[in-house]
Amino acid sequence: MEEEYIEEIKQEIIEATSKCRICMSCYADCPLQESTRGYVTQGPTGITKAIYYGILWDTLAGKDAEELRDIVYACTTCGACVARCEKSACGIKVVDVIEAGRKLLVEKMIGPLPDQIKVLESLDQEGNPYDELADKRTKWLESIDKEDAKQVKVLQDSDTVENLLFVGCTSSYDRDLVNIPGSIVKAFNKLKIDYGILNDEKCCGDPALRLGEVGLFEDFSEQNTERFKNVKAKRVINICPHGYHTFKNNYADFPSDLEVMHYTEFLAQQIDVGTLTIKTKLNQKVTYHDPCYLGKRNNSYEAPRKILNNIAGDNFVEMKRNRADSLCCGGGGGRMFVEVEEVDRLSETRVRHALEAGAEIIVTACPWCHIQLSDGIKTSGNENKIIVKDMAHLLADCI
Amino acid sequence: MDVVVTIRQTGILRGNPILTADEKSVDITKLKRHINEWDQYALEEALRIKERKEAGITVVSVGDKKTEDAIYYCLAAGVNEGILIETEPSKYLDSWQIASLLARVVSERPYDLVFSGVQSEDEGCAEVGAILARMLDIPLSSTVIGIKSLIEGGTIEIQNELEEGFYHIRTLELPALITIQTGINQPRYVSSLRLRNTKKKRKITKVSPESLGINMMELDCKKMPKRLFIPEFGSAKLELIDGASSNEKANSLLGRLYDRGVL
Repeated sequence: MEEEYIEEIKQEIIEATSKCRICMSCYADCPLQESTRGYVTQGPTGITKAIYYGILWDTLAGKDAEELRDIVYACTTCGACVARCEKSACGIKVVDVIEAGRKLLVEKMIGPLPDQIKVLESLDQEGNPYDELADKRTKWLESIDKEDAKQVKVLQDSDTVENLLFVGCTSSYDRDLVNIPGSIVKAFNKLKIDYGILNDEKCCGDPALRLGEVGLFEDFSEQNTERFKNVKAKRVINICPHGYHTFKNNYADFPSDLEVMHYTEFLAQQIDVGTLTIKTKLNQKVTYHDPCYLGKRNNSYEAPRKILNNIAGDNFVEMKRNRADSLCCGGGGGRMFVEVEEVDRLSETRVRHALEAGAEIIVTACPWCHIQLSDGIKTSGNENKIIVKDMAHLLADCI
Repeated sequence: MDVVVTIRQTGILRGNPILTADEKSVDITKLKRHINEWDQYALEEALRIKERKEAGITVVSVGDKKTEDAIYYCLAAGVNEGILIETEPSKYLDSWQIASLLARVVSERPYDLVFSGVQSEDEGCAEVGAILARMLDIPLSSTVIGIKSLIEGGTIEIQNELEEGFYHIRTLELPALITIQTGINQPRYVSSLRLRNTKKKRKITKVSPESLGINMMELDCKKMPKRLFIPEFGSAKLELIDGASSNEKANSLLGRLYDRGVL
């Protein structure tokens, strides 16, 4: 069974990679080319070809395998290459090939990267990648406004709700980011909608899947699907774009009547129908960084911009690279958990893009982008020039 | 070449542990468990030998039924045989008792090398490997941070860790027992699918102390803890022990420990 599964993955990789004409169109769009100047990976084509020859020449052991592992796990899975191949070449789902390569390396006990092993162990033991206690997941409620927290319905086993707010691991545990769920709760309370959070929420499984640990991902997928069915919600509203993407595109048995939304999409809809009104306008220049798992992977570009246009008006400025051309922050694909060698840090480059646009605030809508960009500001020495805010945080100040 | 790896399954401590009713040990039946960290490195070192040479690996562990999970993990990683010496859940066994049980199994099979982790996360005694080597009457080297060479039927050359970055290089005649230090290698990750398939396909050899001819009632526990307790937070006071010499300070500390009934 194990051998058959490995053979299936190999065939999937060989079939997809054989179509590649090595036109190198994807190379220019890959953030790795931007951050490492192409060294080691040679961009998406380099990664997929490395996996291809790794299989063909049977070098999935020893030192060669370790080098292959480092190349395959360098990818941020941002999806820029997929869009480029679709537009200019033969439409290979490059990220799928890279993720299949990771599955192969995990099953062959070569992957993931050493620092990512602890992440998988923590996911298995505590249901989050941060080695935090599972029963402390809703503790963030104690750090937000007491009146807002009181109105949050914490759903027990048989409780049902119309809107299920899926907080996600990073927003639940990162003390610096509790203002994200806190701000969303504030907005939801103002809207007087029926919403709640799970008392036993677990990771969506994204880190396991991106690192190639399919078995562990399937466990999350089955458990979350079962829990969602019991809650009988109309929609699941995600704070993290990675959960949003994973529920929408990777769950095998996801309830067909359960709508998956990102919170920016839900709140933009509320502005559209007039239930959410902006009372205070922002006076500072803001720009928006598109999270890859919201933008490039799911084409959700306009909802965040609708909110920003409403709260910032002319003070909302676009970076030169925006929407599908946006540069990845470097945190996706399991890279949040490892130190990746870069000549130019992606996060610093992105901060530079924001400064060039004249922004004083970089707004984003992903906890991982938030962390990456905050670090990028510090490491590039721009702490007095620009700050990062989540869209929810910004919006909560204006309603 | 036959390599035996002794492993221990330890509880993952988070927050205050729950103690057994007799307050002699932590009740690991209430905890999530994994393979003791040092033993993970010992296992990996054995697997690397298997990848380089013709070698068979046997994993032996002492523990309750749940310890099967740790042995299945080893089988999934590439171990040839797994043996569980099954004991009562949460029963405290000291290093001597554990080594006695392991020695009975190991001595009855062919082996060139025995690997143990330097110590266990829970007890931290670093004794089992040393006692086992003595019981098997084979050379021992502890806190090993590198294997320089291995000649089948001959010798093993190892580096063992000293303080401040220094190390010894020693040559031991085989068979030998070495205790492995963390950081010697990077243990591999065994996937959930691999583990699931292993549990379906492979079998663990389970033996009881009685079947090994050992009566647990008669097997001396040489180091039974008097009582385990969880210190109350907030009630602790810092006291700096003063004295003219180390001896005086040590005596002063001993007196305080006697006064409080710890010793």
